[in-house]
Amino acid sequence: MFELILVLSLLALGYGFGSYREKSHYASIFRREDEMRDILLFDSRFPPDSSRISGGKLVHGNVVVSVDYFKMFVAGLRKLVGGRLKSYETLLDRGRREAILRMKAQAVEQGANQIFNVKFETSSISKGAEGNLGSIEVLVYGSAVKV
Amino acid sequence: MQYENPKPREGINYSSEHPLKEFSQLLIGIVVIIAVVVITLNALAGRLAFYIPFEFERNMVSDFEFAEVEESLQQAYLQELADRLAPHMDLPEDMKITVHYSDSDTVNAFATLGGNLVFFQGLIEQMESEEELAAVMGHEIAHIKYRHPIVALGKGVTLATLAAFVGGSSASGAGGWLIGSSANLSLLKFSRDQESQADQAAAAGLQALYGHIGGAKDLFQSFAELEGQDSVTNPGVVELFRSHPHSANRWIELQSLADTRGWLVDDARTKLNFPGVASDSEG
Amino acid sequence: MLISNMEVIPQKRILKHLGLVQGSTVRAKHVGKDILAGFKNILGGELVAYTELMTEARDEATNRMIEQAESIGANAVLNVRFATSSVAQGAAELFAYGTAVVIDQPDS
Repeated sequence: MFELILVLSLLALGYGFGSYREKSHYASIFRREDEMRDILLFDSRFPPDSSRISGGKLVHGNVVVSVDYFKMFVAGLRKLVGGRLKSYETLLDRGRREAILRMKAQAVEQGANQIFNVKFETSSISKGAEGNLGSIEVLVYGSAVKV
Repeated sequence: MQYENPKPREGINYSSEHPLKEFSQLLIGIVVIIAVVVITLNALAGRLAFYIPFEFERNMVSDFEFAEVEESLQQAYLQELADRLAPHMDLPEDMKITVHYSDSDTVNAFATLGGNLVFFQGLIEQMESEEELAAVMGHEIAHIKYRHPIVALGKGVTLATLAAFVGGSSASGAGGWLIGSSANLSLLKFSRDQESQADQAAAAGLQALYGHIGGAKDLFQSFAELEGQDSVTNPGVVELFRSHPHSANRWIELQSLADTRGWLVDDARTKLNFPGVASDSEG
Repeated sequence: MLISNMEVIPQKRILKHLGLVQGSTVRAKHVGKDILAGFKNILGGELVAYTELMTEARDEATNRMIEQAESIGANAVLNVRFATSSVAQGAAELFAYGTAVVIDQPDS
């Protein structure tokens, strides 16, 4: 009985805080993406026309995100039947976009407007209890140039 | 070269579906699956248990110490009552009932593997007559007769194994927890059907031994009274009833059974002469 | 839609760069396959169920990347890269990204 109450309250807490944070995070992501829309990303190694550009310093952005209890519980249930773990997908999407925005912010500081050779790295830095997703780091890096 | 940076459509790399929708769908689906598994196991375990020799079950627990007070007057009294009642309950031939006595205050008695019954002092203090005690005894013997302890064990072990596999192999903490909790529940409790099956067999035994089922009537009346009492002052009492159907309902069920079988509901009671306890003591 | 991991496509001209597109998904197999894979870990050999899982997930990630590219009017994705990470036990995240472009004669 005690265990059930504990699980239910953790679920409610995780859901309440988690979805509030997710909503406000997405709102901030959309706003900042619009602000920095003129910074262009390429994963090609070389700019098509290298005569007109300058710079080329490494920029990067990283973020460590963690799941809430609700997401973990839903993913745990989902693993029984298999399929898409939707609750983790939003988390990774947010993490990746946040990392890109941080990298773009570095490029803005350097006065650059294009980033080449963009690469992504995702690693789980701590596994949660029973091998569940704990926290993941998304790293994105590239070379910023000014055209 | 032309450069543009248009916005890709939202909701491609993640689903914008409400998270509670997935949660409820999964929860309902999985609870249904677990329920089906438990019901199937119930039916299977109930059948398979009879193929496990009783001797084997007895050996399994032969080293186990059920109660601290063995070889006492009280134990001898309870064993004697069981030996008188058991022949009236159509037990299989190789089935032996062993009664243990514990001087703890817990208001409880239980049947477990290998034909072992444990009676607590606290329960006996609530009893007014020998018939009433025999009603409890008959109920517990009936659990043994229908192999309920080994059925529950089989179910519990199967579910616990399943939970371990699910929890370990896919790291589905939530799934393992759900199955594990239902494993715990079925390990601890006999089902309500098993309880009423035991009630009926106990009544049949009482009728055969005493010629009436008044003991069961007394028992359910005093249980019903205890259920009404404050659960805080009597935590041990609540412990016992949680796994059982409501006492008043159990008696109504038995009464209608007595009507159809033509059993006598009331007759003279023998005062309980339990060693070491004044028979009129209050619990 | 032309998908390639070359930076330039021979005999084709890039008309327009449309920026980075990405596709990602997290998937898991049902618990029965997880248990079987657990047994297979003792014997060794290919874990067919997980190969299947990764293939499905990679296809889905690629498709999502293509969907993003289509939504911004590209007709090719160049320099495509894949990244795989195991975010939780028994669940894999597949991530595909590339540069969305408009090229001339995409079909020839």
